[in-house]
Amino acid sequence: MSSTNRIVLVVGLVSSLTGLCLVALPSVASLVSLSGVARTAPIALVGMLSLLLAARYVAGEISSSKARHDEQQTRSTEFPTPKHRPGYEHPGVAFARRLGGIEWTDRREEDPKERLELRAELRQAARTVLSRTEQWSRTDVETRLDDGTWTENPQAAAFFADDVVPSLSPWHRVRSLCRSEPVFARRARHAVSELASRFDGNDVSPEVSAAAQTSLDDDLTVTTRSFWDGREGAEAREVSTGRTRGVAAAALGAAGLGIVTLRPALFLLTVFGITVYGYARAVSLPTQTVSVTRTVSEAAPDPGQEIEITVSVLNTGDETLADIRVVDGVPTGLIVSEGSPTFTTALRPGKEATFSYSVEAVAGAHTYDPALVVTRDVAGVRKRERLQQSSETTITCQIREHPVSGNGLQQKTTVLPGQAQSRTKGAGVEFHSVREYRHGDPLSRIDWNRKAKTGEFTTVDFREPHLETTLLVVDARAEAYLESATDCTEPVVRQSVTAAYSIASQLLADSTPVGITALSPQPCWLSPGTGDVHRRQLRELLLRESAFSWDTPDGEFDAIAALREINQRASLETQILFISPLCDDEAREAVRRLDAYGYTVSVLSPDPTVSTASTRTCGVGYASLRRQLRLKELRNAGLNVTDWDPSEPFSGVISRE
Amino acid sequence: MALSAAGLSVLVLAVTSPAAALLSLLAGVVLAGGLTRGSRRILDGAGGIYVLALLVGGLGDAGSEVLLLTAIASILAWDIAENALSVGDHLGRETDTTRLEVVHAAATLVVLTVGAGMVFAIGTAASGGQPITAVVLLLVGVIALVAGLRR
Repeated sequence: MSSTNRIVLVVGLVSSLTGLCLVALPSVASLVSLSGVARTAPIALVGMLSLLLAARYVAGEISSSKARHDEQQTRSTEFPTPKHRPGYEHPGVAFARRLGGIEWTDRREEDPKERLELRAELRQAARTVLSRTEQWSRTDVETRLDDGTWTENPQAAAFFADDVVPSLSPWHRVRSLCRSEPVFARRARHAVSELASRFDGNDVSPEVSAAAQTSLDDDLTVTTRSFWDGREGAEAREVSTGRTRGVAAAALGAAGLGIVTLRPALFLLTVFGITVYGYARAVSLPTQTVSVTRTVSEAAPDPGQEIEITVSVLNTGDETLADIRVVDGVPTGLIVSEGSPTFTTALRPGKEATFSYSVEAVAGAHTYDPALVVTRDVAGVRKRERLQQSSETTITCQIREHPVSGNGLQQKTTVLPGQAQSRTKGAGVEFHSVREYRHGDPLSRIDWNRKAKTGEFTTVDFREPHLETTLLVVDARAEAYLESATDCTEPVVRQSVTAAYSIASQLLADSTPVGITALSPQPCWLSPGTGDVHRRQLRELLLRESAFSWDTPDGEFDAIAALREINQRASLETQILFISPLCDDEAREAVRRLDAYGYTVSVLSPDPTVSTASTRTCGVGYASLRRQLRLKELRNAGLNVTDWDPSEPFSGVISRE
Repeated sequence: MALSAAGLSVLVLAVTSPAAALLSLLAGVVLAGGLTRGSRRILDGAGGIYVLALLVGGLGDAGSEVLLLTAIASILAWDIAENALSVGDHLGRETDTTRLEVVHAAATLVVLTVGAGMVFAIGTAASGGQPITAVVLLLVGVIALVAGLRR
C-alpha cells in the first residue's frame, strides 16, 4: 500500500469517525452552527469531488476495457475450443497474403516491390501457360501480353499491359474510395483466374475464397496447453474478473448527486452500492481442491472408430465450489464427434460429477493435455484458472496401410534386390565391359572364346546386382501443413505419412532396406534397415515422433542445413523418395538440392489443391498453377515426379506408373 | 432470466417515475441486444444506462424502497447477463449450464437482498433529521475508502 493511499485512508477514517460522533451526539453538531457560504461550500465541494472521482473511474474503465480489447486482438486470450482441430492453412492463403501485401499507399513509393514481384512472377507463369495452351510463338506471347490481346477479360489484360501503379480515371478514383482493394490487386485476381482456367480447363472464379480469408485471419487456440502457454508459467493463477468496478463508480455518482440535491433516497443507493462493492472486495475464493479423472473406452482403437471419454470431477476439499468450469485437454488430432469436452457444475464437498463425450480416432499417438479448471466464487468476482494434471491418457491409433500392389513403385527405386544397376562392376549377369586380364581374376569371367581366337586373356565385367537402400524424406515443414481445398480438416502431411508408411512396409516386405527422415524443425531419423524389428521401429516413429504430429510445427527451420545433414548421413547409393505437397518454392529447392548432391531422387506429391467444387477460387487456382509449374520444372530436370490426388486410392497412383 | 429481472426493474420504476422507467426499459433492450450479439461492451453500456435510470429515479420522487428494489433488479439483470456471457465464452453454446447459472443467480440474489435489507434498516433507523455536517463527513470517509481500495 503506497503512502498516499495510507494518507487517504487515514483522512477517510478520521472524517467517518467525526461524522459518527456527530450522528451519535447531535448536541455537538448544534454547537457549530454554520451559515451562508461556510455551510454550502463543503457540501458542493464534496459533491463535486465525488462526481469527479466517479467520472474518472468511468473513464478509466472505458480505456482499460479498450486496452483489454486491443490485447485480445494481438494475443489470443480466447478460451480453448478443444472440440475442433486447429485451422491448418488453406492452400489459397498464399495468394490472399500476397494480395494483402499490396496497399493503396504503395502508389507513393518510387518502385513498389510487392507489386513488381507479383507481376514478374505471374508473367513468368503466363509465358509457360500460354505457350503451352495457345500454340503461340514466344515473341507472339510477349507481344500479346504487352498489348493485352491475350485474353478477352479487360481486367486480366490490363494487369500485364498497364502500369504497376495504374493511373486512374476520375470515375475510378471515386469508386476506389468505397473499396478497400487496390485496382492492381483486383487485376491480379482476374489475371490469375484467367491463367488458371486456361491451364487446366476448369473455370476458376476471380474471387478469393472465404475459407482462405478466414484461414488468414483467425488463429484459434485449440488445446488447453497452448492456451496456457500464452500466459506466465505458473501452475495456477487468480484473476479478478473486474465485474464490480462499475458499482463503485455508480455509488460515487449517486453520492455526489445526493449531497448536492439533498435526496435521502440517493444516499441509500450509495450505501447499497458501497455494501455490494465491499462484499465483492471482502469475499474470498475457496481454495481449489478438485481432482479430475479421465477414462477412455478404448485405448488402442482402429482409425475412424468412436471412443467414449468419461471425465469425472471430484471436489476433494471441504468447501462448496459454486462455480466450476472444466475444459478437457483434447489432443490436437482428435475431433469431438458427440457431446462436449466442456462442463460446468457446482459441487459440494466430496461430491463428484461426471461428463462424457465421444471422439473419432485418427492415426497417431494422441496424448491428452491436462484439463483446464476455472473456479469462481459465488459472486463471480474472482476466478482461479488452473491446469489440472491427471493421470496421463494416451490414445494410440495405428496408421491404416494403403494396399500397394505390384513393383512399379518408381522407375528408379527398386523393389526387388538385384534389380538395380549399380555403378560398380564385377560378377553378375548383365554385361558391362571387357578389360585386360589381371592376375587373380576368377576363371569363370575370363573370355575363353577370345583366348581361343587371339591367345590373349581378357576378363568380362558384369554389372553387379545391388541391394539399393531407399530413404523416405517426408516434408513436414510448417508450409506443408496445408489443409486440402475441399472441406477437409486434415493436414496434407497426414497423407504423406500414410503414403510413407505404405511404401515403407511394401519395400520392407520385399526386404529392401528403408530409412525415414522428416524435413521438419523436429529432428527425426531412422537409418535404412530391414527386418521385423526395423519395421516396428519405423511404425512407432511415424506414430509417435513429434515431427509427424497433428500440430503445425513452429520455430525457425533451416531447410538447407537439414538437407546437408541428410547428405552427411545417407550414403550416395541411397535412393531418395521425397514426399511433399510441393506448395512452396523451398520444397522445390530441397528436391533440386538433393538431386544436386547426386542422389537418385523421386518425388511423390499429394495434391492439396484438388477441389470438388465445380468452380475453384483464384487463391486455390493460383496455388494449383504454381504447383503444376513446379512439378513440370522438376520433371524437366529429369526427376521422376508422381502427382497424387489424395481422394484417389493410393494403389491406383502407384499402378499408374 | 436476465430479461425477467430487467422487466422487474422496469415494473418497479414505472410505479413512480415514468422517465426512469423509460430509461430502464431502454437498458433492458440494450441488454438483450448485448446478449444476442455476445458483446460485453454493449452489456457494459446497458449497465451504464441502468445507473442513469437509478439516478433519475433518485432525483425524482421515487421512494427509497422502490429505488433499492430497482437497484437489486438492475444489478441482478446485469450480473446474470454477464455471467451468461462469460460461461458462453468459456464453454461454448452446446454445454449444459443451467445448474451453474441457477446457482449463480440465486447466490447473487441472496447477497443483494441481504445487503439491501441492511441498508434499508439503516435508512429507516437514521431517517431523523441528521446534521448535514455529519453526512458530509461520512461521505468524505466513503470516498476515501473507495479511492483507497481501488488501487
